[in-house]
Amino acid sequence: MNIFDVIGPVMIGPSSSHTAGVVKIGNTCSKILGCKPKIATITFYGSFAETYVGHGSDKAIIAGLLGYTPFDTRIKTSIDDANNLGYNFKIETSNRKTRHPNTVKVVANDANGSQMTIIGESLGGGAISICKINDMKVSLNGDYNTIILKYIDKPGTVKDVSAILYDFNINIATMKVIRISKGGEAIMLLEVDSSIDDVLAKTISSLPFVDDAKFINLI
Amino acid sequence: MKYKNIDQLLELCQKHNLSISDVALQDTANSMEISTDEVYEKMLQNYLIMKDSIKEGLKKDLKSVSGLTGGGAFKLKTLVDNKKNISGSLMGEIIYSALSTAEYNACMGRIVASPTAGSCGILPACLATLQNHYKFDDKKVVMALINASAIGKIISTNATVSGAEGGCQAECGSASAMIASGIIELFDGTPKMCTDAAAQALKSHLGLVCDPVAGLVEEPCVIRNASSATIAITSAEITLAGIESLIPLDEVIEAMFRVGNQMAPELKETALGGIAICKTAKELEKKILGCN
Repeated sequence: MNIFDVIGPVMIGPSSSHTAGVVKIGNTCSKILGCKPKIATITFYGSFAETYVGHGSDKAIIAGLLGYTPFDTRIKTSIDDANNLGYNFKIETSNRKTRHPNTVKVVANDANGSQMTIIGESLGGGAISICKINDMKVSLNGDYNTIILKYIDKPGTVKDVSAILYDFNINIATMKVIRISKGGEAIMLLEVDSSIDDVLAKTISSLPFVDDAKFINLI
Repeated sequence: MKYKNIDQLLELCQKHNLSISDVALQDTANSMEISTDEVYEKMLQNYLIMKDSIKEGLKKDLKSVSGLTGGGAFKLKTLVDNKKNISGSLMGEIIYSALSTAEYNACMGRIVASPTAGSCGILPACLATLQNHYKFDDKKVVMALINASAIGKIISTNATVSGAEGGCQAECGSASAMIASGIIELFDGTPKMCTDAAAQALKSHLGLVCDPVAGLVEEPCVIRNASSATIAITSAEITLAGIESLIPLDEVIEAMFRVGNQMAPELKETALGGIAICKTAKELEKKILGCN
C-alpha cells in the first residue's frame, strides 16, 4: 500500500465499491472479451441487486463495457451513450447467494463471436477481482497484463512457460497454479509487467500440453 | 524511511529532523521507485481535483439520482457570503465545502476518495478553506495532504478505513484524524502535535456507526462529512493551544479497530440498523428503490 491508495483513487461517485469498482469490472470485461460487446446481459447480485439504481451501478457497468475509466465524467450518461451508439445492454437482478455481496455477471460475445460469461466482484475502495471466466475459476485484479492457461497437469509445464517468457524478456509479477486433480486439468495464471504480443501468444499456445490459452492486455 | 506505526513514524521524524510529510514523501518515492518530485506532482493533481469538486458541488440545482441530496452546499454558501451564518466565514466555508464535495460525489461527480468516497469531503474542505483564508501556497497545502496520507496509511494498515469493516468512525473518523494532523503541519506544529491532533479527532468519532439510508452514500453521510471536518478544526485548535492527547494515536487507532470489530454487522454499511431502519428512512427507501 502507498499513500495514493489512501488519497485516491480519483473516481466518479457515489461509491468506490458500487460505482468505481463496477466501472473497472466492466472495463476489464471488455478487455477480456477483446472487444466492446454490442450485446450483453448484466446480472447484479447481493448488495448490487438491492442498491444499483441509487449508486448508478448500472451506468457504471455500461460505462466500463464502453471502455470508460472509473474517473470518466461521461459515466453519468453512459446508458444514453450506449443507446445512441446502437449497443444493446440488458440489466437483470438475481437473489441467488454469491460468495461476495458485490457480485456482477456479464454474458456477452467475445471478439470471435463465441459467448463468454465473466463474473466480477467489487472488493471495496475501487479494487476488483474477476473471479470466473466461463468455467475457469480465476483471480484477476485488472491491474496487470494476464496470461491464463488451461492445460493438463504434468511436471515441467511451469518451466516451459517461464522459459518462453524469459526468452521474450517478460517479467512475471505474480503466478498462480491451480490443479483440479493430479494429472488432470490445471490452470496457470500469470500476471506480467509488459504487454503480450501475438508472437508470444502463438508461442505459448503451441506448447503441446496447453488446451486453451487467453492473453489479456489490461494496461 | 519505512514506518509501520505512529511510533516509528515519529521516531524517523525525530532522528532525521524531518516533518511527517518529508518522511512520507521519501518513503513513497522509494517504494514506488519514482522521484520525490513525481510524488509531489501526483499529489498536487489530486489536490487540484479536490478543489474542482468543491467548486462543482456548489451549483444551485445539483440533485442526486435518488433525490435525497444536492444543493445544500449552495444554500449555506449563500448565508456565509451574506455574513448571516453563526460561526464566521472560515468555519462557514469549511462546512459548505465539505457538504459540496460530498454532495457532488452523491451526484456522480468526480472526486478523490480520501480515504473513501463516503468521506471524500473532509480533507478538501479543510485544506482549501485554510488555503483561502491564510493564503498558503500550493506547496505547503500539498505537503499537509501528504502528511494526512501518512496517518491514513497507518490507519488502513493497522486498522481499517472501510465502513463495512469499522463503521463510520473508520471512514469519517479516519479522514478527520488524518487532516487534523495535516492542519498542524500547515501551522508549523511538531510531528508529535500532528499525531496528538489526529488522536483527538479519532477519539471524538469512536463508536460512530455506518447507517446509510437505502444503502446510499447520502443520508447521513453528507452531513457527517461536514461535522467531521469541524471536529478536525477543533482538534487542531486545542492541540495548537498546547493540549496533548493523553492516549497516544497508535492506541486510539487500535481502540477504533477494536470498537469496529465489536460493532454489530447491522451497524456497518448494511443499512440494517441506526437511522437506516427508522420509519421515515424505510419510507424513503421504498420511494427510491421502488420496484426492488
